[in-house]
Amino acid sequence: MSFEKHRNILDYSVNFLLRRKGKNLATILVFTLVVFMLASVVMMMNSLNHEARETLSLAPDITVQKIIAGRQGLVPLEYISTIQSIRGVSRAEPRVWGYYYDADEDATYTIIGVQSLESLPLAISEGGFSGESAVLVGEALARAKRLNVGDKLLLRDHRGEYVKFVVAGVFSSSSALQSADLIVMPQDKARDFFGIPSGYSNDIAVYVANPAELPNIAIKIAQKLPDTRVLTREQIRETYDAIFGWRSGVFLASLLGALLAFAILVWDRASGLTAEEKREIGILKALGWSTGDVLEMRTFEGVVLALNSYLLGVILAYLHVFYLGAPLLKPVLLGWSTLYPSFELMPVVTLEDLLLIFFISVVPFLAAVVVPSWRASTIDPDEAMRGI
Amino acid sequence: MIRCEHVTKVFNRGKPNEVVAVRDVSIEVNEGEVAVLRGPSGSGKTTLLSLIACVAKPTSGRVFVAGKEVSKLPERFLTLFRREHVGIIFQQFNLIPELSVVDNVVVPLIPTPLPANESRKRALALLKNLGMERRSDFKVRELSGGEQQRVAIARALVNNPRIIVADEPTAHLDTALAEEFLRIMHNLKREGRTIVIATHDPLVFQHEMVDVIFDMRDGRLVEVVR
Repeated sequence: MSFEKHRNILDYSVNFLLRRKGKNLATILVFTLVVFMLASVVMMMNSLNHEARETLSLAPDITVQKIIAGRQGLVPLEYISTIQSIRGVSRAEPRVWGYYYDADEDATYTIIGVQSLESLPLAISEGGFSGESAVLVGEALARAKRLNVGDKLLLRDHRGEYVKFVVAGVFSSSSALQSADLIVMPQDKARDFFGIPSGYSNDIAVYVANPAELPNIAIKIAQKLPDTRVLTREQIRETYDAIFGWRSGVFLASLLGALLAFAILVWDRASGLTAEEKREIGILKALGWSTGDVLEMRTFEGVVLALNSYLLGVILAYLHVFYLGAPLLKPVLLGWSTLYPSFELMPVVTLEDLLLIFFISVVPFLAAVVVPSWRASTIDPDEAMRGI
Repeated sequence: MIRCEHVTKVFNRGKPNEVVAVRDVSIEVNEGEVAVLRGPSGSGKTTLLSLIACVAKPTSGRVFVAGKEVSKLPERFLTLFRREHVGIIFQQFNLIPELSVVDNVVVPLIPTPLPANESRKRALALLKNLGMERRSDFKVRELSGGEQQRVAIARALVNNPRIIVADEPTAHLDTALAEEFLRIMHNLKREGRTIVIATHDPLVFQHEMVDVIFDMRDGRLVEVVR
């Protein structure tokens, strides 16, 4: 095998591509668009899953909710002592939280009341937690409302009356998905803000010393407190996966239509070898090119087109998702996007994803380029030239 | 040098549009000879030329070129054989219009181990011999018919083949250019190359260099004139 021969054929392929600039630019455009959409979805879903897992890593081992008439109700604090009496439980804490709709920003925030900052292990980029009216806010929320440490924040409580808070700190953007929409305040203040009676909480966070004991402890809690719903972290993770999986599945299914259209387009482009292209293959064969040489030339051509489109599509998708915040996909993939302050996704790109995109875009394209050329190059060059 | 034995070529065999282009033809051309396949359009001379040039295989019969039975060769060996032994000058020249003159000439050398700069040198030397060195970077579509034919001749010679086949080479040329073409062919004959030309142009078959004429009609060989 001669390296020179392959270099000569590669040079000719590049020349061949440049001679058909318009047609090939159109192919690159369509190909890049398909890879861009596909890669954007995959990158975004991966990033969201990653963030969701990070969020869950902060969640309690077990969450205990009170169920009244089939809906979640307030949990009496005396349940805590019942839970703590179970062997293996290291800690049980009441949690007070709720949602707050901000009409000015058309966004919904999550307000959490904590007994101490240690119970909410999120990084704070500036400020600290001090004073009864002090609140910590998410970085995206602070940005949206132009809040800095020391600024006042007015919120309407459950009675509809304005309550004044002071921004004592801002959460770090490294925990965007967990904290972007968050307002954290002292627990008693939160209870008062939402009108939750003292002696009650929204739910109870339970921590277990030995993770292997977790399922047993969950069963024991459910037995001792039959009016509660006991959720392990694993169950919440499965719910997250189902939601993100469903959303990305629906989008990918619709994208399959686009992929199919793309496949038809490339097939048509390639199988519809023009009379000129067929004639050129015939000439090359008559001049001593073998079928293998013609296929090599066409494969190089396909590889140059496909790899350029693939790389361009992936790079554009990366910029779209991680720098621009996926404006084209957010409304589809994040159902709450209009109610949620904007946040930056943590870049997560795996080799498996890149290979997946490669195999469902580049490989069919190469097949669509090479197969018709192979058909054209296996007939007698004389027949190819005459068009018989 | 070239021998065809009872060669038949059928296109679209078994289909309603089946055409028997060549029917039971036997011919022989010796080394260094100039042979002409003569006949009207549709007589089968171009098809017979394709069989001799190894760009098509006969439906039946045997074709020997340079001592080898090419009608039995598998495609990849046939390609290699054609590249090494046969130079083809097509009726329509069959140049690649978007390529430059020199790039057209090097096309047969691309799938060979010859480095690109060597191929280019060889092509430029041939173009110089044919008086085309000043046009080497022109696109072939910018050339006149006669110039295009000289490019086609250079391309046919770039592999230094022992056999040259030409299909209706003067069909698109005026008398002066046709005579120029014949002068080039005559020189190639003097170099010892075997030349087969399919034509119905008297200027060609009446030329002094021609050794043998095969008269074709309706795909059959009707007369051999030596």
